[in-house]
Amino acid sequence: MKRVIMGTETAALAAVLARVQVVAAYPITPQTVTVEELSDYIGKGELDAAYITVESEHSAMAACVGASATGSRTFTATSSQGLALMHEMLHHAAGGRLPIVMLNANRALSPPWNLYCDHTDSLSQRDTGWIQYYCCDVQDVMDSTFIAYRVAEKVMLPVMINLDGFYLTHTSEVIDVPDQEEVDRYLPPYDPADKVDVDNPSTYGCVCGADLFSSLKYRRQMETLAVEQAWQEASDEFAAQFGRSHAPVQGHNLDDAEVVIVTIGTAGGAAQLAADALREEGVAAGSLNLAMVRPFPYESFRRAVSGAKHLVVLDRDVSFGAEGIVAQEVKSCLYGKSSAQVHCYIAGVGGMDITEEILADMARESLGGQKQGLELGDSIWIKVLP
Amino acid sequence: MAKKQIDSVMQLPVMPLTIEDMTWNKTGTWRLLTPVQQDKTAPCRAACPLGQPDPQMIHQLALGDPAAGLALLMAYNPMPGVTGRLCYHPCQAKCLRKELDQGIAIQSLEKSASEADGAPVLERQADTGKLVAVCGSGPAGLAAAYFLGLAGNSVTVLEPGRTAGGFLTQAKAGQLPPEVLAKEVERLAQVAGVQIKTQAAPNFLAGMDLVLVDESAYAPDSAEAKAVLALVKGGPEPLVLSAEGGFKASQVAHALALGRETANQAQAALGLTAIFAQPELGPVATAEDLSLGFFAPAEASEQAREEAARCLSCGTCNLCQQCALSCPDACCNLDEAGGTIEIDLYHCKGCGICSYECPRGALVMENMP
Ligand code: SF4
Ligand code: SF4
Repeated sequence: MKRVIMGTETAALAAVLARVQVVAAYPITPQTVTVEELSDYIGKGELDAAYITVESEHSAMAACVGASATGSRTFTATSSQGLALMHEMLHHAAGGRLPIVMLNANRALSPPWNLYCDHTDSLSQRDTGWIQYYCCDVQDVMDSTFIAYRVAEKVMLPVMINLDGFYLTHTSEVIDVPDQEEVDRYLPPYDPADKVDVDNPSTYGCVCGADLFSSLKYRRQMETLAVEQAWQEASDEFAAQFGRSHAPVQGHNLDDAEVVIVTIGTAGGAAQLAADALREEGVAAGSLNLAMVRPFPYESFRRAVSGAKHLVVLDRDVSFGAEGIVAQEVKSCLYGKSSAQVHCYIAGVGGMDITEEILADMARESLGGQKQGLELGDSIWIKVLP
Repeated sequence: MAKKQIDSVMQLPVMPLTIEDMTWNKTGTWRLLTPVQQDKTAPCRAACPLGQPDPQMIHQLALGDPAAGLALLMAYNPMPGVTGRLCYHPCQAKCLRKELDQGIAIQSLEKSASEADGAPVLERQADTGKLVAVCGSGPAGLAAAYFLGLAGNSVTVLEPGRTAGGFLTQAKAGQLPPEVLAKEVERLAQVAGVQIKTQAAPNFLAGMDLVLVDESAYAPDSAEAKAVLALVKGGPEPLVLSAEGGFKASQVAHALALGRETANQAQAALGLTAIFAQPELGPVATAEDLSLGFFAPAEASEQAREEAARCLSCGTCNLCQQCALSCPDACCNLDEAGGTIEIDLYHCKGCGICSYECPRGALVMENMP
């Protein structure tokens, strides 16, 4: 069924179709609509789930951890400061191997206060062990929720689905809403091997000595690295059933591309247009939407950019004292494997719009064209005061 | 139990959860201080002239077993039905329950236990072949006869009057009905195998291994006192039970204690070992030893069982198992027979939580090798 629907509403509807059993969330702009819609669905009996009201995001995630450990399909949503407050519990969810799915509306961290899109919130949670997926449009929000549960419950790791604040949370698009039966066919009920059971008591998140601790971490790393493959398979199966694919790395005109514009989130659309415009100028350009940042999709990424000479990386974030976080990730992925030059552009933080022209100009500059911004350390900042 | 051998990460569970118990980890080696279940004496017991185990007796009443309570009392006190009516009950003045709301009606509970059906069966020593006569049947004389009887001697009490009981026969009937006194005397005689002869005439007591005379049976210089003394005329040198100025009815427990003490002296005179071992009362529990927060306020009750349930069992482990609930390492447990708290010293790391949590201060941390 086609429907005109907003990103935040879509996230709630996707959770309903995924038949989540427990929702524990705290409202925060720009995620609020998702939480309101879910409480409505549950209140009206349209979703058979428990809604746990909490006083903070830390408690929201703590409640999700407990709920998920009982074997319930669990959902939550947050943004920015809320995500930061959850930090401790994010480690707990991933370390506990609990397949929670969470929407994060990407929003700048204060101070100064700013409610608009910025990726520093989620990227600064890279090392918590969560799978991180960045949506490029509203359909992606719907579809990736199902894929997320399917992958999470297979590999026993939580997934954070990221939506660019306002660009995606508050944009309405025409999307295809799948039937419940179709979703059920793709996503069977969650039935874990281990769950909290009063008749078979066990300590969840128990103590572990030095003798086994690193072995457990080693195994988790092994299983986290395998997520790239698992997600690719789940995406292929989704494509076979629904005709839409949501791979960890989504390329546009990459086969012969010498210049590749790398983005995460909604800028992927503008990056495609920029690459097309550059093609018209005779530049062999392509774009790459890096949908998955954790685990980093090393294989797919290296394959996708194997012929590129220049990678233009857009960072809507910064790691102070270093550079853009996505550029760091890309450099680390390619180190010793590629001679391509990586150009880091920090732009569009705190809600500054990223247009097709801005992206095309970055690519032109990296090929020797006119200077676009101010160089600082290893990155170039766009549209900042000198 | 040996630690589980794991050879591959794939043998570990995906979720970090328990894979085995931790009994292989002998955390007892970390211990500096060791918890020891060590009862303190309840202040009520410490105040009792007979040192009778009131909290233990009250515990039996709370369990609904007055006969067991009576047996505990009669190991110390031959006439609990008398003390339960006449004693000035110094125990109650010391009751720590007063810190919480109202003290326990200990004396009523003692009386209640004394009314249990039948007579308890106490251990009676093997026959010693010794003949003992007790002249005068005041509570002191009766107590001496009772304990000497329990020691295996053939004991006869000679009372010149019509009724055994000495000065107790003169107590107000409202306080001690004569039929109660008669029953108490009959019961102690039965329990200890003692013969009681009233209206005994002055007699030649030759042939007795030992003669005791209860000078405290009646007020000094009374006609009855003289009659008692007359009983021993011409006999061997007696062991005398006397108290300066005699006893008041309310001092009956002191008279009984004197008799009990004299029974030990008599044993020595007979070349036998002491019959009554004075219990080591050790330190007395104080309000500071209790964790009053564990106890809910409860109204005093006329019902013995309800009233008994209010007793805090000060300083005395009553197997409430708060320690078992509190120990983070499950080291405090009821022993197999269910009669004591056992501490698993292989795993107790000496944190002291059990001792801190014990509501009645009956677990102490000791510096032990
Ligand atoms: S509460 Fe019980 S044990 Fe404590 S002093 Fe009173 S009667 Fe004795
Ligand atoms: S609480 Fe347990 S571990 Fe701690 S001292 Fe008591 S018995 Fe030992």
